[in-house]
Amino acid sequence: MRWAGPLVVVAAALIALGALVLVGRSEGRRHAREENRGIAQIRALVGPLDSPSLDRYRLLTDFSCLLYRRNGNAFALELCIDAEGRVVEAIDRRDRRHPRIFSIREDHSAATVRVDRAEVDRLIRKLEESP
Amino acid sequence: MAERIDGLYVRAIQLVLVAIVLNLAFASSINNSFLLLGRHFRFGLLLELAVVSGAYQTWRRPRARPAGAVFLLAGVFVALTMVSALWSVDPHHTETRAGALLVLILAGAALADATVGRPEAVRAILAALFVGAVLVALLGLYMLWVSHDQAVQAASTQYPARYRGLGQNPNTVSLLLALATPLGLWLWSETGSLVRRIALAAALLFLDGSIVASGSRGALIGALAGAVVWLATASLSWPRRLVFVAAAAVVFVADVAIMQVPNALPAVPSSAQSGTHRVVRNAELTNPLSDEIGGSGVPIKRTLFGTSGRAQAWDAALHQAARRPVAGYGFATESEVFVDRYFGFDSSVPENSYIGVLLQLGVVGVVVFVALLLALVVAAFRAVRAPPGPGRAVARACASVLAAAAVLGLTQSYLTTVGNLASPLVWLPALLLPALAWQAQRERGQGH
Repeated sequence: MRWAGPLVVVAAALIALGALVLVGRSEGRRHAREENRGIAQIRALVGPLDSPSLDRYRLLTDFSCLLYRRNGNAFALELCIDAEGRVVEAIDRRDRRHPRIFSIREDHSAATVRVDRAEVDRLIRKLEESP
Repeated sequence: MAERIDGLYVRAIQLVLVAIVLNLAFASSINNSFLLLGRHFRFGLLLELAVVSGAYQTWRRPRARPAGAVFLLAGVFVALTMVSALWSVDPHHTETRAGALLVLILAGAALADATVGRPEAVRAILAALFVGAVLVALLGLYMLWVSHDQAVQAASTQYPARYRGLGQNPNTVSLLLALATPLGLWLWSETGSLVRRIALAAALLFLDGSIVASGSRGALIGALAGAVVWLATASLSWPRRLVFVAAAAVVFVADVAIMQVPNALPAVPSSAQSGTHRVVRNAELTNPLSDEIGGSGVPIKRTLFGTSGRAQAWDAALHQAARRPVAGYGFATESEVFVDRYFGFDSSVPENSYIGVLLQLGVVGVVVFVALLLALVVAAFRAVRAPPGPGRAVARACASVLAAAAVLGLTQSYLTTVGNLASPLVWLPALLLPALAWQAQRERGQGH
């Protein structure tokens, strides 16, 4: 009986930690779902990757980006793709004051939108060579 | 014989502490040679500290062990950091950093346990931390001597030239020096020898000068907070304490005035940039992602009361935390999760320890962390209520470091980062406070 009190406390702490694990994982899944949904929307707005509106690129350590022109704005839509072709970030700057940013760059493995990485590299090379 | 063994233990702990502070400074260095050296040894030395402290604790076998809210909450916080690996965006990183935090907390708890009722041992620990900080500051001068470019961050249109010494940026080492300042004040006031007093006064002046040269306003405010707590808790009449606090405020104002002297570079007129029109296809050269938000094309001038872009970064980090509000993104993932998209802000973390904990461990983590800090504050209040003597003096020194650390946490992300060079200077004095409070309570009891 002497141990009943501490055992209850330990059991309660373990249950609380277990519940927190469930909440933490559920939050992670929900966050990834929301970001991927936003990325998918912008991916759909872009259309084909080699669309004539492709205007700029960006090379970063963890990913490369392709930028598409809309209504004279050369930076309007941006897709950032990692080495395995996962779209880890997408930005909609059609409203220049309030860009919509969707990103899963902290956890590439959770990205669900994919493109052909070889094509991305080909398009970047083309942009680099263009005047 | 027992006294000699005790002395050997304390000396060994002092040596490891100095080595840890130096090594963590190397691991945060602008110089690649120092950086590689520091990164290789930093967690090994931490483990060594835990082993030596644990051995000392076992050898001392203290009959009375101070327990209480601080150690309970520290345990809960560490458990939370470890469990967060199960929902972290980088589980391996979370596991290793949570393990390092556990080792640091265990070392601090062992030292608290082993030094109960022995202010001279606490004094030795705090003195070693101060010596480590002064050596780091001196190595800054060495860097200045061998490589001006590395020791001084060049002026830009936003910032004047800023001294960074050994550190990666001007705020790195000044953070450590701010925490060491109250320890220097305490050692200076304790020392009877004139030569030591002069040496300590010179060291204090050197720390203050290094902070001013770095232009780190947060560090200066943190050092002021620590100094004020140290002076305000002195065993003096209130009018005399007020005079000393006012003197500290005068030094602070003078430091701020000196900081305003160097100027940033003048902004280049836009017409000077125009040349032959050619489309730059690489967007990172013209519109970098790190300046995505808040950029107006006009360079930001750093002002005395400006936040250097922090306000925008904090706002964004809070919004980001709101996406995983309860449990956060996982311990030690702050720099992976936070993305600097803010014009005028230049850091991979939001530069606020409390917002950093919110990002990493959500509301649950912040509640536990703030509760731990509050428990430490309560322990500090109890410890400084000890009867005048060496026990009260070391308690005041630890409380002053805690105050400086908590204030610095408002402008720097570092309180829960064990690899940060200031972490031993925060957590070891802080974890000594419950033992000092327990001893103070006993002494007060005996006095009645």
